[in-house]
Amino acid sequence: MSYFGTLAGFILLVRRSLSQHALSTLVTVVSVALASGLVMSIFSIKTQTYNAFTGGPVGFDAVLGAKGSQLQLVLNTVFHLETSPGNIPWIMYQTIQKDPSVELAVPYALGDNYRGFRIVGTTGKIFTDFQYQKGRKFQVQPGGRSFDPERREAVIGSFIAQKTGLNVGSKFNPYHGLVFDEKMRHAEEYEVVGVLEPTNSPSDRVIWVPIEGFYRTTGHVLRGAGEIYEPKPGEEIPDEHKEVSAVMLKLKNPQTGFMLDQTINKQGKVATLAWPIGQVMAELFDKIGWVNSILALVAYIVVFVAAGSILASIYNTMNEKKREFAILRALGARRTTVFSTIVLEAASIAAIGSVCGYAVYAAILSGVAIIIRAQTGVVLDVLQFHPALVLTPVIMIILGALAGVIPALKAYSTDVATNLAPTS
Amino acid sequence: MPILEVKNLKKSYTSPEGEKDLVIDIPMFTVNQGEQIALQGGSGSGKTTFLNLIAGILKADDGSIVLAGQELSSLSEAERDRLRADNIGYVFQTFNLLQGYTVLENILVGMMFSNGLDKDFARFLLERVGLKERMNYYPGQLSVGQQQRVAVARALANSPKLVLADEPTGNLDFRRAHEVVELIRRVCFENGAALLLVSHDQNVLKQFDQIEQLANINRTLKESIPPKSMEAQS
Repeated sequence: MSYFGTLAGFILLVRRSLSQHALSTLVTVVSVALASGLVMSIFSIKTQTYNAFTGGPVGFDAVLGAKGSQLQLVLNTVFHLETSPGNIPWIMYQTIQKDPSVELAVPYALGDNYRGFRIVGTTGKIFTDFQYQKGRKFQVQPGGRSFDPERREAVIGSFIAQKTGLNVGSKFNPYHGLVFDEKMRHAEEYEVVGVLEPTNSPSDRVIWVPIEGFYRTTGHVLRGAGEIYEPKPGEEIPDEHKEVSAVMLKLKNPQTGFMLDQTINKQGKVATLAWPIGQVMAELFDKIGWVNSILALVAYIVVFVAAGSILASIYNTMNEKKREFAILRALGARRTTVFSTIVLEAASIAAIGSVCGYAVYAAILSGVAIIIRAQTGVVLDVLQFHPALVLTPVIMIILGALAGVIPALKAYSTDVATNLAPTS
Repeated sequence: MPILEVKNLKKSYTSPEGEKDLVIDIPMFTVNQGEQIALQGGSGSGKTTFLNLIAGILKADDGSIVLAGQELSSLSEAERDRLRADNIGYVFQTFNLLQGYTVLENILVGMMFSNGLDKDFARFLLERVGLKERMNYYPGQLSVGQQQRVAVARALANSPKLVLADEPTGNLDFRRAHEVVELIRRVCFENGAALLLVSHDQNVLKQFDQIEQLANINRTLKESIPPKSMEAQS
């Protein structure tokens, strides 16, 4: 008999066996699909979020901010989460930007929001000099431009445009604080002059305004010189009164980071340098590594439960199939043929379930991606390759085939003569 | 030239009490190529056991069965399976059709373990038994007579050298029984297959030229059946 004939025969036997118990097959396929999709999702989300938070399109090497937690500083300025640990004097910004080992220093002033989206007061360097990825600067969409530092103008991230409906020409009033509260509305009105092209980074959730305008917003007071200073209209603000929430730094080389770390963190007492940003975030992930371990454990358990459901599903049909096996044996099927058919049937259920698992994976990842993007601006890609996308179906099929061994042994031992009833 | 030679064949079962119960003790039995033999035997006479021994489904305790030139006792179970797949067609009293398979698929399964799937030949066989139009039906959608015709077609699917038919008309009325036996004989003849049919039905037996009494060839029956009964059976 040809291999093609053998294969076609096996396919016929397996196909018919599956269709004879369509309901239990369907239920088992669904359970395998859920297990497979869940496992792929857990591992893919874990890797993608880790990569995005520790090495994603940040563009800066370090953050200089008020004395406190490096993690809080990074979360607040890079991912626009968490509260600000405090401010540092403008003079520190001026000092560090003159440091020859610093390639780029961009001041951030934080403290306002628009419907929960953070407003960052900064300079035009964020558009002209900053690269969020190597060779890629913020691009304003056609019809827009970057803000004039002396006017109340704003450039908004693409996600904000999509979610709030703001567009070029729109006007809005900022709200005081980092959490949206309708009662905290500032009187000053800003005009949107540009919408940025998507960067798939937390910057898509930011409203950029001139830092000068931020200082001159009603209710904002400056304490750069240690005493309260409230800017007056038409009057230039002395540098000693200015302050910033953080200074975002691009360093010329890693040695600069070591040097600044020594100077600011280990010897200084007024500021904190979060460096390197990826390392700070990696430490966070290391601290919550046990969560990943639990999720992985849950995933493994789910896979074994799915394999068990394959076993139960096929094993439960064994008694009613005894006669069918006896007939096949009487027609010349070997014990190994019957055995192989059952194992192949189990593997087929796992394979079909695993293929359907990709749909479950896509659904879960898409849902999670929407939530993570809305909360952090980090974008997860459903189509991004992860070894789990290959390994999970392969392992699932192997486990499925192994689960088929027990019922297959039962089929293997079927006595032909006694099951070809009746006898005379 | 014999397709089947049986010598000193013995088979016993162990009773629940642990005693050996000899059910087959056949000194000599032969079926030649193309020959059609009806074997008469009553209920419990060991007909099915004898056919299962010939088919290699059961293993004999002693003796020799030479099928298509091969001594069954010298073969492994897998080799016996292969020999059965290549040389034996089996028609069962209860048809033993696979209920979840279409008529055509039942025929394909009959050839699966031998020469491989040949849909054209399967359709040809169904045409021969008058069921070409029903090839996509399931056995449960057919009449009893039609189901037995499918069983006949399946028994010939592997182009066997010997067809074993075990009470193939047990579930049929007189008219259908006659038709089915005629069909089996005709398709066996056309395909050059020898036929060994066992039955207790006199009407079926009358359709054969060559009739053997199981009681005459199986010594366990000779010993247990009184002479008068033997005469009555004859």
